[in-house]
Amino acid sequence: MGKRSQLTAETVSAVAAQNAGHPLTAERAEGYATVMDGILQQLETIRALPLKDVEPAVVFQPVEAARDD
Amino acid sequence: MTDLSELDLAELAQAVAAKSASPVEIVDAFLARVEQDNERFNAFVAITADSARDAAKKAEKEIADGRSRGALHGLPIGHKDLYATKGVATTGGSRVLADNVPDADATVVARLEEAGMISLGKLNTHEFAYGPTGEQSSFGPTRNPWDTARITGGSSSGSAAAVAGGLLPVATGSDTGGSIRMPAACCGLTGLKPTYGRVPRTGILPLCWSMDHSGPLARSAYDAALILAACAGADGKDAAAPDRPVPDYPSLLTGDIRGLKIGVVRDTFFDKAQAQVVTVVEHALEVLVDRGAQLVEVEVPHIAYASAAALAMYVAESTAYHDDTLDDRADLYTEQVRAFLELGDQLLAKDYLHAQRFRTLLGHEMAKVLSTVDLIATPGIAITATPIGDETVDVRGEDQSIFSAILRNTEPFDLTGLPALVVPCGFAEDGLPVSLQIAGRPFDEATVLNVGHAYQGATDWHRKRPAG
Repeated sequence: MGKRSQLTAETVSAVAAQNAGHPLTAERAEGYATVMDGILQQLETIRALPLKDVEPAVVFQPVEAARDD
Repeated sequence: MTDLSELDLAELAQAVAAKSASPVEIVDAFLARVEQDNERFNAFVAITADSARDAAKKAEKEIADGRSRGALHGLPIGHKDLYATKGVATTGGSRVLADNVPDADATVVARLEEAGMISLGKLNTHEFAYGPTGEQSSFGPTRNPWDTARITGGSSSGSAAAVAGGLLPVATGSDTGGSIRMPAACCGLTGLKPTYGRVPRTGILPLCWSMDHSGPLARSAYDAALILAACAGADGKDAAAPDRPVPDYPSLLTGDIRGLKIGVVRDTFFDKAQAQVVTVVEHALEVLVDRGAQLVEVEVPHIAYASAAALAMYVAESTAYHDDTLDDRADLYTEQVRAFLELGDQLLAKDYLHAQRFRTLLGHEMAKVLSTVDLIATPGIAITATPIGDETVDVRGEDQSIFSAILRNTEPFDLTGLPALVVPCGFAEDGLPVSLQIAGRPFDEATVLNVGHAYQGATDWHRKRPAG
């Protein structure tokens, strides 16, 4: 499990503008960095659970024709 | 003379069957309450009085002609403003969809209309169902009929305020992290979140596809069973809704719970709830024991991680749904919802998938517990309704975020998709309603509802109404 560094306003700003296409003001980026860092830290705790052989709860179902087609 | 707006669905159905009240009289009685009290609660965001009166006249004639469609025929309902309603604006409580008028009904809306129910209008919601308090909506905050300075809980805030305030006998809601059960608990109502997929979500604005559920906020478990029976079953459009038989739920509510084993999970559900809430819920559990159930102390490993996983679900899926709108109309969202949506841009796909792996793990742990007991009982929510505008709440001497405290007991059953019911079970020291939650095995709504029905057969908390 790679160690994640603390999320900064600069990273938030860059990801929002360059990856997501939703540019943020500096003020918003600052606020989101703090909140998101807390969320990511919570998610890191899940990584410590016995998940090695556990598949995500996402099941693909081949699409069949709808009944009214 | 009986005030018809005080009656529950089953009593109204009996009145119609006995010809002591007609659909027109019933609809008029509730519309009068809407006119009198909606401004205080901000529950309805659209009132369809004319079409409701027309539908009531039609129902009255059908019933008089011997063409009754069943117990729900001619009875009023309101729909959360997340449900598509043909020809009636469906905004999700947001300026983003202020002009959205669907050309078709949601499956649930259509099924309830087919059963003869009459919609009185649309009900306020936390914007796009993305919040547990009912405060953030383009229509303003919904107010709790027990104390209008307090939140109703959300996101099905208008549904709860309308039913608790006597403006409706029942309403639809949706539940992704607890959005049926939290407002039901805050407002002293019965709220049912069925098994994931039991009720099709077609035509309901999504918050989080993998956790969205549809269900009723009602005045009793029996009433919730009446609505579930009319709404459940595949519609061929919602891929999450399996083609399974739909039991006749009301007929299965015998009130006999002798021999049922009810698991009590202290960790997280009880030990992180306000003491005033736990005291009331302990008394409710004693009532179930008096009715013949057996309490068994059980543990659900890893339950404390549920809120983190749920957060990843909301943040990832809701941002994907709103991606296009965030491009050019972000300023139309309320500030809280906009912030949550923009946070979603920062989540990695692997974080989302780790959270989905956690859901599988938690599902297995719940299944193990439910192989040793029939049901799980917890406090409905950990706190009582907080003042509108507050951000933190005292829980055993610790200031906690209201969002985390209110979601804690309901989210695990959205993550695992298990059916869960809240029933009012008394009042805390602050005079506000407290609720008991009963969760069960997948697709075993009948047992869950029967425990609620048994409890309500022995108590009258569900009959308490706020002062007018």
